[in-house]
Parts: sequence; C-alpha cells; structure tokens
Amino acid sequence: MSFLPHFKLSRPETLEEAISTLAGASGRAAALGGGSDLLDWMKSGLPAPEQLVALDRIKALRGIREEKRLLVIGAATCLAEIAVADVVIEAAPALAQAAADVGSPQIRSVATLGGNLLQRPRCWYLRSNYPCLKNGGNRCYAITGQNHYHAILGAGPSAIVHPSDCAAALSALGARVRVQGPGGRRELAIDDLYQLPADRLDLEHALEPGEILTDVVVPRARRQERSRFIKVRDRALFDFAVVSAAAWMRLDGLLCKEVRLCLGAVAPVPWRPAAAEAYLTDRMINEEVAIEAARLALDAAVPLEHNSYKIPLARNLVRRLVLGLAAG
Amino acid sequence: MEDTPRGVSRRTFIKRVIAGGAVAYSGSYLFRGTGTLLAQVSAPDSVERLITLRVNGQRRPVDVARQETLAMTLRYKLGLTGTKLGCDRAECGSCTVLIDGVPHYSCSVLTHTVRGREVTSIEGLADPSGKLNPVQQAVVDGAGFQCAFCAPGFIVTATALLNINPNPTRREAAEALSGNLCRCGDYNKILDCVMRASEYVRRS
Ligand SMILES: Cc1cc2nc3c(=O)[nH]c(=O)nc-3n(C[C@H](O)[C@H](O)[C@H](O)COP(=O)(O)OP(=O)(O)OC[C@H]3O[C@@H](n4cnc5c(N)ncnc54)[C@H](O)[C@@H]3O)c2cc1C
Ligand code: SF4
Ligand code: FES
Ligand code: FES
Repeated sequence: MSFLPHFKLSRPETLEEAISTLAGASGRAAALGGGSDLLDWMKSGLPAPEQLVALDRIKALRGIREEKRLLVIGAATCLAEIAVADVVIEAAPALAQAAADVGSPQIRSVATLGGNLLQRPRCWYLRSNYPCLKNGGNRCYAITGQNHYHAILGAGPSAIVHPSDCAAALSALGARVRVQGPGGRRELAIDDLYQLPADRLDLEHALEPGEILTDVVVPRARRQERSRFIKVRDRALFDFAVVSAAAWMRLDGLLCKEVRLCLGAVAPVPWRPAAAEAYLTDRMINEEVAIEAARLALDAAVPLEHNSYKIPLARNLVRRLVLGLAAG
Repeated sequence: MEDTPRGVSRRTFIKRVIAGGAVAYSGSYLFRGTGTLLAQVSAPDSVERLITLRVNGQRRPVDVARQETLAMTLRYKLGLTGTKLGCDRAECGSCTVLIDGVPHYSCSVLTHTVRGREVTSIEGLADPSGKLNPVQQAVVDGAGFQCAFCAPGFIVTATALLNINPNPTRREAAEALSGNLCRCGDYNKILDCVMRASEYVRRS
C-alpha cells in the first residue's frame, strides 16, 4: 500500500472561491478533479501539491450545454457522461468515442474532462520517480532505455507522449478551452493548451498557477462535417493508447473541403500533421490519396530503439480514418 | 459534531470501532494490522476529522485524515476487509465499491469526498437476513474464481451492471467488467457466473 503525502483539502462550492484558494497558495496548490491521475502521481512520491482544491462541489463546472453553434462542456463533467450523451454523439462523435475508450468504467465515472486534458505523462521512468529531466534531473532515461511507448514525433529533450485520448479528439474537432484565474478569463485553442518539452520541460500545459479550466468548447458538426476517433492499445479494453488518431472533415461528396487530423500517443503534445492536412484539402478522397496522406503524416517521424512499430500503426490509422470519413 | 478536528488516538479509535458494532475479528484485525497506518495518519501535521459515512446502509462515525483513501478507511478503520487492495493505483479493480450505486476504485477516492453519499462494499450486498445477492449466489453455484482475491471487486461491479441491465449480452458483461483484472486469468468462468446471475435475476 502506498501512502499519500499530507495535504490540505478544501471543497469550495464556487469557482471564485476555488480560484482564490489556488491563487493564494502561490503554486503549491492543485485542483482536484476525479483524482484518478493526481492521487496516483502523489502516491509515487513525485513533487506534490500541499493543498488540493476539489472541484466536485462546483456546479458551474459540470454539465453539457448548447450555445448556438457550440457545444460547451463543463471541465468537471465526467467522461462516462460525455461518452453516452446524445448531444455529444451527434455533434462531436470523435469526442464521444474518445471518452468511451478512456481507461475502464470505474475510471470514466470519476475522470473529468479537464483532468483528462491536464493529466501528467505516463512515462514509466517518471512515474517510478527516476531523477529524469522532467523530475529535476539532468538526463532522459527513455531515450536510451525502454522506450516502447515513447514519442516518435516532437521529442527532445524529453520523449514523453501525451496520454490523453480526449485531447486528440478535441484537437481534430477544432475545440477551444475556457480558463479562469485570478487575472480573469481567457479562451485558447486546444492546440495552444499544450507545449513541447523543448519549450517547457516541467509542465505539458500552458495554465498559470491559480488558473482553472472551466469549459471545453466544441463547434457542433453541421451537415457534411464528420469526425471519428480510433485507438490501438495492447489490451482490447482498459489501456492507454499505443497510438490513437482522430479526424474531422468537411466533405462535398468525396471531395474533402477541409480537414483536421490529430495523432495521439506519438508526441509530447496532441500531434497535428499539417502536411497531410494541406495535401488532403480540396482533393477527392480515394485509397491512393489516403495512403499518401498517411505517408505525409508520419514523414517527420524519428523512432527510438523500441518504438518504430508506431509508424506503420499510425499510418494505418490515418488511412482508415480518411477513407472511413469519406465513406460516411 | 461532524467537523471537530481531532488528533488520532489509537485507544479512542479502537473504542469507537467497537462501539460502532464492528465484529470481534475485524476489531482484532484493526488492532494488529494498522501500526504503520496509525503512525502515518497521526504524524504531527496530520489532522483527522470525525465524519459520518453511510456504509452498507449504516451510519458509521469515523475519524478520517485528509489523505486517507476510501479503501483505507473501509479496511483499516471500519474493519470492512472484504474490499481488497491490489495495485492501490486505479489499475486493477480489486478495491471496487459502489458509491451511489456506481462502481468506483476506492483506492483512488479520498474518503472526505464521499460524505453524504451511499457507499456499498462487498459486505453490504447480501440482504440483512444473510441471503446472498444473485451474483454472489451464482459465484457459489458456478464455483467461480480461483484464488478469489479479485472476487469482491468483480462481484460488486457485476452487481451494479445487473442493477441497470439485468439482461446483458456476454460482450456487454465483459465490457462492464473490463476495469477489473483477474491475476489468475479466470475471466471465462467469471463471465459464466455473471451470465448465470443474470438468469437468476430474470427468474426472480
Ligand atoms: C489505469 C488507468 C488507465 C487510464 N487509461 C486512460 C486512457 O486509456 N486514455 C486516457 O486518455 N486517459 C487514461 N487514463 C488517465 C485518466 O483518464 C485520467 O487520470 C483522468 O482523465 C484524469 O481526470 P481526473 O478528473 O481524475 O483528474 P485529476 O487526477 O483530478 O487531475 C489531473 C490533473 O489535472 C488538474 N486538473 C483537473 N481538473 C482541472 C481543472 N478543471 N482545471 C485545472 N486543473 C485541473 C489536476 O490538478 C491534476 O494536475 C487512465 C488512468 C488510469 C489510472
Ligand atoms: S521521456 Fe521525459 S519523463 Fe520519461 S525519462 Fe525521459 S525526460 Fe523523463
Ligand atoms: S487496488 Fe484500487 S484499482 Fe487496484
Ligand atoms: S481468481 Fe485469482 S485473481 Fe482472480
């Protein structure tokens, strides 16, 4: 049995209270969603917050609502609810599919969408508390070690992959996130929520201390707009992605008018293969086009010793998604 | 009285457990088994609060530290050792209990966050007369499980499934149970038992 370190715990009922508590702790406090990542992280003995601010009582952070052309999902809404919500299944199918594929039923009942997007990397060296680059040390153990599940794109100096399935789906869907902190509110594109280790080593996301992710905003699909998420894992169910891929497309028959692709679990951030997107735009979709898009999507991939298998896997997912969306 | 902070004292807590009606064996289990736990939760900066939990239909007053998980409280404070700790990391399901009817990994839930909610552990599944619930009965009749360490978690999860879907397909049952792992790999037999249990539910 592993013990949690000591911490203060508060369970405010309003967002304002939560923000002021977080901000008052000057970086030593953290929001607590379902705790499925944070508690595990803390049990590993990794640098832990001294105060947890539970979001479970804040009603304003929960629920799914429609705002004109947008779907607005409260950051503390749990994935189990998102996976089966008719409005998500209709308006943003890739997100419903990704949420349904996260972890296990018990995880999805507690895991919040915000927590899923902000969860920390699963690199087994980091989680075993090795003194690696991301843990205040001076080397990456994965680059030369056991790197089966590590990055093939965007790596350096750390080779983590971002573990969130929902992030990949939301990036393809062109989602934005709303954030509120002591300095007020702001909204950013989901792709701007994430940063590469080359830009910032200690954290994967761009939230400032004291900021809370309040909502995820997704444009609702119009006619001719389709989206889908697929994921490959070592077990049939209940596992992180080895590779995942999501796509959103606006079609006119078989003509691709606009597309967003995103690969998950291949890079430290949800990875948008821009060259493949540019290639597909204004092109008739067929098998050859899909294969070329898949090739372009992985063109820049640099595998480590044990993870070159991810390249054909990711290519195949891109090909399947492109053909699948065009087929309807 | 609910929120009085208290330093933990082994004696008051044992007394409270006994007063709370824990059966003798679990009292002695607590006495022997929690040396390290008590040292942990009674460290100088640790504050316990007396809270009342709703567990298996009873109100159970208990001193709980903030960093305590529900699995720790159930096992080491309330003597409900039917809930097992396998990984303690939300990865195996052996600690599964129902919170308001929904399966949760109790190793990864802070006890303070379940105040006011109904917790059901494996001990709470049989009816008060001792009659087993359909899943438990099916496990007995079908000789499910090998070592059975995973059994409480599977049985609790399967019970929740049959409450919302009394007539699952085998595939639906497998999906509902996908968050529970069996180290002995006895999945087929476990699924047989769940299907048998769904038959019992339909017949009753
Ligand atoms: C066994 C297992 C399997 C898993 N499999 C998958 C999988 O297949 N796919 C996948 O995507 N994920 C998977 N996960 C990860 C899981 O989805 C995340 O742990 C979960 O989504 C985190 O949500 P939470 O609400 O529990 O977050 P918490 O653990 O409470 O928090 C996670 C982080 O986010 C911060 N945070 C949470 N909410 C907010 C907010 N609103 N504003 C600001 N900060 C916030 C916390 O401070 C913390 O740093 C798995 C986890 C486990 C344990
Ligand atoms: S991949 Fe990143 S987290 Fe893992 S060992 Fe290397 S530096 Fe550490
Ligand atoms: S002990 Fe809780 S999931 Fe393994
Ligand atoms: S029967 Fe042994 S772990 Fe499941």
